[in-house]
Amino acid sequence: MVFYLFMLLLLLGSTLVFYSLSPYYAALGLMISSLFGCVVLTSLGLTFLALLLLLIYMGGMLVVFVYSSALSADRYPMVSNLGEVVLLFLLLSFWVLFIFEDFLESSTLFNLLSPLNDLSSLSVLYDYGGAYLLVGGLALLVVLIVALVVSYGSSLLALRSL
Amino acid sequence: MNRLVNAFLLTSLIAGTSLVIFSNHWFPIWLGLELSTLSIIPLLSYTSQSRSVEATLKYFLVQAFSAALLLNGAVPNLWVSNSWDVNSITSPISYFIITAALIIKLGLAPCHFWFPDVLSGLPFLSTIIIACWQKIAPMFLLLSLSNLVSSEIIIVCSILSVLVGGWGGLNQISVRKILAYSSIGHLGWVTCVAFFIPEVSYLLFLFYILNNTAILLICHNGSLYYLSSLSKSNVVPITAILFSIALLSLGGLPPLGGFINKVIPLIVFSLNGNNFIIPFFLIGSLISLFFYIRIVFNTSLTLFPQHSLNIVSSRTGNSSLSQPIISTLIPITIWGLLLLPIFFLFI
Repeated sequence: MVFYLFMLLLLLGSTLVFYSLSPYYAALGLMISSLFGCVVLTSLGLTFLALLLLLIYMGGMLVVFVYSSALSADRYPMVSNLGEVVLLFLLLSFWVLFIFEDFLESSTLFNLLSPLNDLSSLSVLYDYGGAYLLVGGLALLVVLIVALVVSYGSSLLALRSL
Repeated sequence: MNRLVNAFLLTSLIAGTSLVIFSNHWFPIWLGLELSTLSIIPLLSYTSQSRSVEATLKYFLVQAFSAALLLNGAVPNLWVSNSWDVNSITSPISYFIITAALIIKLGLAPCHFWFPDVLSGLPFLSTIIIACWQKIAPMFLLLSLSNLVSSEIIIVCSILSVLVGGWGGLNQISVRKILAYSSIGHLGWVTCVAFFIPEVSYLLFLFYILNNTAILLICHNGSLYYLSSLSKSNVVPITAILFSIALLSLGGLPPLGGFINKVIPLIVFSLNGNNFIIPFFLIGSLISLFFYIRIVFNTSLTLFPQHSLNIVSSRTGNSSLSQPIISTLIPITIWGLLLLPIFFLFI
């Protein structure tokens, strides 16, 4: 039951991303969804993946999001429709709850007894799956070069004037 | 663009497509599709003209969405059969989602709407990459899936593609849009055999690529962007004649090589007793033949009133890098019907 509550909060995060007027509330929604995604993963026993997700989302993607939304800010921004978003989320979740009510009464066991579920398969990435690491590194190099070429522009300024 | 960056991006494009063709696991297939999509974005948008940038953005959005849908469709298969293997599709939902993703990627009807928009915003060399090279990986996947599960969705989409390709190209004046709709129609002919004998589709697809590349390279040499520039272009006269013949071959007229793309599916349909769908294909290709003949008409069969300097000064040839490639591809286009006996190995 608690498991589905975590998934519902994940849905709240993504509803905030989609329906909020200001990009800063969308970033808040991203934070909420990544946080509860991590909680869901941890309750399944995949602790390493949860930590990885949290680091990459919060430490990488959100910083990039904040910078790019600062660059593309509106002059007269519409600030927040947080009440509408939360109301939409509550309506959606109660609607689904009343349809699938008997499904929710079955209990799921949390698999916290074997926390090394993901670490034992992560080690394969460095052993037999070394080619995946190399190809993934190549893909990331291509992404870097593509991002640099696309955003180069014709001027040598680092940041556009706001 | 910098030559080193250009070479690097082309290499990673080839690497991405090869990764799709040579993998057995769904994850590197997705990785290869995304790598090839990502590495041509700068190749398409390096001139910062707004048409190219808009076409690049549309292309990227469609391809990224369909690649994500492909990976999303491989997951129910994993859930049901505990295997990431490409050659074991056990769940029909996952087969449907993966096929839908590949149809969006290829630009078959009913998911063809992005294709003329993207092609009409790009210069001709980029058009060759989008229309010919980028179809290799999704077509390969579609045909290897057809080896496992024969589903009628491919025949429905190919019938729709042939009809859309015919009717869509009728009212166009931009040569790139005409070639986009012709490409949609041709992909319909190529995929329709996949329901019966998928190995033959490889042969038809190869022929389509060779034919299309020849025509697009000639259009690039002469900068034939609109129908109005067809009569004013300064190509060598022999190129104009061969361009017309190559277009008629694309339309599928019998003694030329493009007829192989039409006669093999018809033989396969009638050998399987499936005569009902043949009129749809014939109607679609007849209508598309009309706009090929319109291009031929405007190129070599009429002479518009123009200055005599334009008629007299015929250059000895654009000695560009594409000229030997055109000279190799055009004979295959014209004499390709001699390759028909290869098909009889598959029956």
